[in-house]
Amino acid sequence: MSQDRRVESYDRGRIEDVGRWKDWAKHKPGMWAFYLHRFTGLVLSFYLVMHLAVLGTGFWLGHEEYTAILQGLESLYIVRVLEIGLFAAFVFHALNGIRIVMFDMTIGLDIQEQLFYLSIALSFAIVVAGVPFFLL
Amino acid sequence: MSTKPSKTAGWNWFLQRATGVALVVLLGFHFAVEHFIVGAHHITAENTVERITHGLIQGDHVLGQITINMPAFLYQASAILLLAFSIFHGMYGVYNILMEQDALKKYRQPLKYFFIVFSIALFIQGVLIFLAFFEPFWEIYDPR
Repeated sequence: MSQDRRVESYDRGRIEDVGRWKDWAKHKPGMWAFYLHRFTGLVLSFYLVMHLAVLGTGFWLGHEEYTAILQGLESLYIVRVLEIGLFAAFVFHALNGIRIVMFDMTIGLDIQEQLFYLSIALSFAIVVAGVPFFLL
Repeated sequence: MSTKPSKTAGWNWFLQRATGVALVVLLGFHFAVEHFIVGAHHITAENTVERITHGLIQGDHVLGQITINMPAFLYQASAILLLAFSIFHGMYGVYNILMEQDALKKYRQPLKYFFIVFSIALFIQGVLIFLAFFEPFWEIYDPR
């Protein structure tokens, strides 16, 4: 295999520093993908910790308390709406994550912006289709 | 501060990718079961026991009556893998975001150990939740 698989590299500065959000007006789509991936990742991680804390009632207090706390939370409309947000965070993070893994395998690098728009569009479609499952 | 690249960084990078790909499937399955088939507001301790102890997924939500009877060990494996992978992926991800901030770089060591201990604690809590709905264990333990 003689084909050169290396990708063109260039100085992108301190792109990893979240502090660069101040330059938001100059950001290209890839930077928004970076921020959205970070943001949804933080949301999902925070939820994971809360999730394990709440479900812990099942072990520490018992089954009746577990059912009571879950039904209590689910009776709140705000919780249902926040769950849609959680689902949206997961769907975008998953689709954009696949996009990142593709880049690691040097697939699709020259259409990275289009793939970002595709992950946004697909996320939107999947979340809209999922709304009834959370609200009904 | 050491400038040597960490020996485990390459492995962690790979594990972050591998767990990420696995989580697309595992967390997708988790959402499908709990939100799309059962419906979060229909979750009770009784049907959680059915799923975890017997692999019996039953629901009557937006899609109507659905019953899936999968091998119990398969459901249990998916639950434990979801627990382990999501904790690793989530905590390593947050740790990395913190480490990208120049102001926090001097706290690398303490933060690393905090995240390792915190992840282990989360995993133990998750296993206890699992055991609470695993009948052979709960029959012996049940505090009531």
